[in-house]
Amino acid sequence: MSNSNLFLKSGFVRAPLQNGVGRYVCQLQRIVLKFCKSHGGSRGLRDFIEQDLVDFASNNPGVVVYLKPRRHRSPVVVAEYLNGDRVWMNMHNKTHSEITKWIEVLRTQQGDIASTRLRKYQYTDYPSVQGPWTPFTFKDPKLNVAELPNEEFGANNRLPMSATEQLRIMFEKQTLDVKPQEE
Amino acid sequence: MSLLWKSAPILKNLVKYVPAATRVQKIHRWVAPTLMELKRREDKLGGKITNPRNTFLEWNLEAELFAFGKRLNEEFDSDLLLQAFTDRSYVIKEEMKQKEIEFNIKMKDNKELAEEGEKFIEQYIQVYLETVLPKFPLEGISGIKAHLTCEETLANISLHLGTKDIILASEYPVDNYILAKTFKAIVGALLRSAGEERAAHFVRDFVITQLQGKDINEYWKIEDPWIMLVDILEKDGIKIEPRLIGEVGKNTLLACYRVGLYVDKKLFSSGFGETVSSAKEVAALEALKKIFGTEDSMAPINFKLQGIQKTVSKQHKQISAS
Amino acid sequence: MSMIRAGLQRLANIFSSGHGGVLSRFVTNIAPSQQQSVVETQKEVIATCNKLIQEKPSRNFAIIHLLGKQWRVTDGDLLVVEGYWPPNIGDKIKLDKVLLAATKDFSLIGRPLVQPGLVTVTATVISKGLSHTRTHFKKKRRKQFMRINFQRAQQTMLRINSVEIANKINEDLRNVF
Repeated sequence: MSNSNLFLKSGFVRAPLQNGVGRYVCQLQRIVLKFCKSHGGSRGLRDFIEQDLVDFASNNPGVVVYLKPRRHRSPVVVAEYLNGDRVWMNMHNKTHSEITKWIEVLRTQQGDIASTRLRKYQYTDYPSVQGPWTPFTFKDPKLNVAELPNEEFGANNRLPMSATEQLRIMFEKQTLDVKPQEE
Repeated sequence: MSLLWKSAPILKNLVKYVPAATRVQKIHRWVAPTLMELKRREDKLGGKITNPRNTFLEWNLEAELFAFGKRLNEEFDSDLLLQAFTDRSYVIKEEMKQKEIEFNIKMKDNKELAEEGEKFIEQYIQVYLETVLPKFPLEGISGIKAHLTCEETLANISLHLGTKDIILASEYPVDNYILAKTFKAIVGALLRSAGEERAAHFVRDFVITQLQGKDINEYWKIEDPWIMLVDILEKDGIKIEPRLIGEVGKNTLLACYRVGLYVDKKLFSSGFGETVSSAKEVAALEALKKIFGTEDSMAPINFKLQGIQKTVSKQHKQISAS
Repeated sequence: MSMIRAGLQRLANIFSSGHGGVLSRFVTNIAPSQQQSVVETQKEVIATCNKLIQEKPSRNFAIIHLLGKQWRVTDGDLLVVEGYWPPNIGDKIKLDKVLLAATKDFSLIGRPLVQPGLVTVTATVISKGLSHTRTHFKKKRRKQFMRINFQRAQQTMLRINSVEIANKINEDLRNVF
């Protein structure tokens, strides 16, 4: 991750207004297309307006589309979101298909996502369902009344079986097996 | 000073072992003075000016109102929606203007709609919460309801539905009171134009879902959980017995005690605390949560109930909080 | 197993003189009181779990496999998935690859997946956008080599709507797909 950018804020995953829990609300509220009617730099945006804009508006009745022709200036698309974010995007010399894709991105994102670096890719309000571990979990309640030092609780029972002990067990097993045959 | 020089080698060593992670990025020395100067000039001109969005050239109130309804998937009556967005202050301002040019168009403000909406919101949330949290006492439910219907929550909802720019008011940006009032008025308008069920689902989807991820026990402060627990259990003739079931770091600053509450020699709940009494209180709180069905691992609140539920208040326990 | 344990106990009796015998630490004093066949225990456990599902609803969580990654999800969680992924905003989807599902009291561990149709995890696609610009800067000293690449990944945000244990455990394996 490029952490070096001083002015890039970092943040965590959030969704505005519990979006998706109840009904889903498209977060883009209005989009302004600024373009020039004659300049070559606006060619792509003009094509988009001629061919796709009506479809875009009718497919997304919740988005207000404004057109703002201005003379001899670069084409620009400004998207405004419900959480107050405003995304400004220069469309100079972009082709029709590029503009279609960029506008789709502006429509589907929930705000100015690109302005923050995500530190985590997941968010939960319930980090533990079965209960977090505490030092008291799995503790023998007998320990409360035991007087320490105590042989039972002080015993080191975490060591693996040593070779000597293994040998002794094998030996004893042998003698046990042998005995009944004699009887 | 001489002491400092003497200890210089030690200091030098210390400096050498500063971990690389604490290294700070260099910010040029001109950055702060420049920003300060810019701020000073801005203040001199009368602070930051935010132009109201609705004074822009690219603004069409009718289109905005249409899109507002479509975005939320609701069918609003357009006149009612416009009325819901009209604040009293705007009406007064307009009337003053009209007086000057001797002209008169009557405008309605959203007071009536807001009252209607507020009443509906309160009623519906009460009924919904009673259905969803059947074991939770009425005091607790009213606590949650107070949180959901407070100005701050409603203003936040209203803001995120995109009302900020559309509201017709004399001031900009609008304050929380107007935002909350507008939201209530919108519910009122929906109630009139699409009926009770649509309005109910609207409130469910935007207001009640605010409880997602929240601990509902936080909205009800129980003064003395132990007394309340004993009172509740006495009615059923159950005796409860607190026992110390764990202690760590006794007589230290970081002491931790664990108290368990036993019913019939079976562990009912347990709680931790810095002292035995506070641990007992926490254990009692945990026990109450278990009784009310609001423990940490409770099943998530259902946000998908259809229609308007019937009141079931009588089944609910009324507990005196004293 | 029980044979060995009994044998060990006998052995321990032989070895240990008093409390601190050599083998005392291998013998657990909490031996199972009654012996039960494995099949019976299994049946009992499953019956208890089924009863718990019905009678005591609690918050569930699941570990799901999504685009090569494993996520622990519970109701109301948010996930951000990176890379190309077709679902569009507003779509409701069901996440089928459940590796583990659990309630407050028990966990169902899949081998590798939990029985299909047993657990339903539903989610809504909230947002699809591009991440911040990541810079990849490469430089080799004294070799006149320097490259700088910029890239932005596609990000899809998901809201988990519900994690439910819908069916009874080990009951009729019907084909849900």
